[in-house]
Formats: sequence, structure tokens, C-alpha cells
Amino acid sequence: MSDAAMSWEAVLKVCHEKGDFQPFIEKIPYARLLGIQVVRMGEEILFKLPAKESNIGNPTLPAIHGGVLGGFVEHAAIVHVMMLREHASFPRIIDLSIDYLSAGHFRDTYAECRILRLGRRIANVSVDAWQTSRARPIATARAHMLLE
Amino acid sequence: MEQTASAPDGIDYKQLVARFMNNIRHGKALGFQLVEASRDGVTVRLPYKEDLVGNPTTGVIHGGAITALLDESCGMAVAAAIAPEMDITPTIDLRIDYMRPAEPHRDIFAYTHVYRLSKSVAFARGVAYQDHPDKPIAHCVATFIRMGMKGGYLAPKGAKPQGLEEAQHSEPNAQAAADPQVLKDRGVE
Repeated sequence: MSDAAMSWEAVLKVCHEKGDFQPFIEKIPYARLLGIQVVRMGEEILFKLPAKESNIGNPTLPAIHGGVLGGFVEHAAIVHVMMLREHASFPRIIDLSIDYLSAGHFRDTYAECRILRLGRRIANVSVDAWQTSRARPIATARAHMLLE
Repeated sequence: MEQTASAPDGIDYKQLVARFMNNIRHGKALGFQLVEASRDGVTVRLPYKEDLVGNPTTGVIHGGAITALLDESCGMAVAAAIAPEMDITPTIDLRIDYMRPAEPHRDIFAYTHVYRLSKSVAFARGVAYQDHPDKPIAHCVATFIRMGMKGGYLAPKGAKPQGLEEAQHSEPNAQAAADPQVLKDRGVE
């Protein structure tokens, strides 16, 4: 069966088996709209937001829309938690708090999630986003999710 | 289109905010529509679209799209609050509480306002809702730094990216350039 015809639950199951979650991300319309990708580097999992014109906010710099960075880190946190739980349900986001450290330029952006705690009901996740190097984050965020 | 009346202070807030929003490409990609704008706050509509869905089973819009809606709406509330002055006001931080799931196939509205405007910082807050602002699906608070650049986004000359719409403006101070040193200080090459 092609990916397009499979339910997202079925796709998620295959992703868990293969350790590649890109097909799952492709199943989420909003993630497709932003162009989010998941990149595996050894045992590390990174998320990538390729430079895309429709993600621009401030046209003068140009800079990525703050809401796009928010949506990107939020989606990264959700998918990261789903990767760790072999449970085919979406964690429900309770809150997101994001600090914008410098302008996100019109270039690729990366995000890495850290699970601060994965409890029975709540997941606490921290996300850093950067462009040139990890040492120079452009945004940092924390999110809480309700698990089912 | 209906002609919007100017506020008693002579500023047409709706026209001013609409002009800002017209330059924000991502907001246009998501389909944001300005409903109302005044010094007291800004209301923006996000029409339901299939490509904003975050959960394909329920058809509920992704929280990220609501984040973008509230972020942009807060930014526009700041623009209205500092009018007729124009400035660049990057977001310092944004916090969103998702209070109940949005209902699928229905538009989402954001109402945001500036509740404290200091010389350097604008403090904004607001809600996203479907039925009524008193029954929010999300609540947000955000702070913005006032860079003190007269002319705001409508500057500087020669720095406009290719392919983006020219900013529509007629203000005498619109040519004022963004200070390259300030941009550099914020890590902007």
C-alpha cells in the first residue's frame, strides 16, 4: 500500500519499525505547509525547517515569521514525544513558551528537543532552534503536553 | 469594500494595520483577514483550511497555526498602539495556553491588545476563540521590544528582498533607514 493511502496510525507504526518519521510528518497538512523535515544523525534527532518564501514574516530583513518558528518548535516537540512513545495518539499541547533570541533569517532552521520529563500524563519538553550553529540559538522554547 | 471610519484622533487604524499585514507573507499564506483594529485592540480571522490541519483524524487545526495567528495579531496590536509612530518591534517572548480544542471546519478569531506600553517595551495579551472571546480556545501573553527605528518595516532603501511586494506607504518618515548597527547588534548580518 502506498503511504498516501495509509492512515496516519498505520504510517506511524511503519515509522516506528523503520526509525524514519518523515512519512508521518508528511501526513500532517500543517507540517507539509511549513515544510518541516526530520533528520536523523546517528542517535540524534533533529528537525529542519528549510528556507521557504511563504514562511517569511518581516519582508525587509527578510525574517521568518515568529509564528512559524513557534509552530515549528511546537510540531518538533509533538513529533519527538510521539517518537518516544509507541502509542498512536497525538499528545495534546497544554502550553508553549518561546523566547526569540535573534531574528530568524531567510535560511534553513534546525531544532532539537530535550525531554525534561516524560511522565504518565505530562511530557515536559525543551526545544532549541538555530540556523548557523547550535551555539547561537535563535529561539528557545518549553512546551507541556498532555498524554493519553 | 466598506470604507472604514477614522478614529476620533484622525488615525485610520484598520487601514494602517491592513497595510502592515499585507506585507507579511506567512500571514497571507495562512489566510489571515483583518476584522477590526483600533488603539484598544485588533481582531484577526483565520479561515478554516484543510492544509492547516494538525490531526488528520479529527481535522482540528494545528496549534502552530494558532500560535502564528496570535503572534501576528499581538504584533498588529502593538503597531496600532504606537501609531501614528512606526517602528520595528521584534517579539521578545510569547506564551500560549491552549485551553480547549478548536472545533474543526470553523474559523478561528484572535483578539489581542496592548495592556502596557512603556518607552521600550510593549506588553500584549489576547485570546483565540471561535464563539466568543469569553470562551477562548487559547490565551496568550507576549512582549515586544521597541527598537526606536522611525519608519519601521518600510525601510531601509535597497534592503528589500527580491520578489516581495513593495511596501505601500506615503508617510514622510517612511524612507528613514533601519540602523545597520542596531541590526548588527541583534545578530543580523
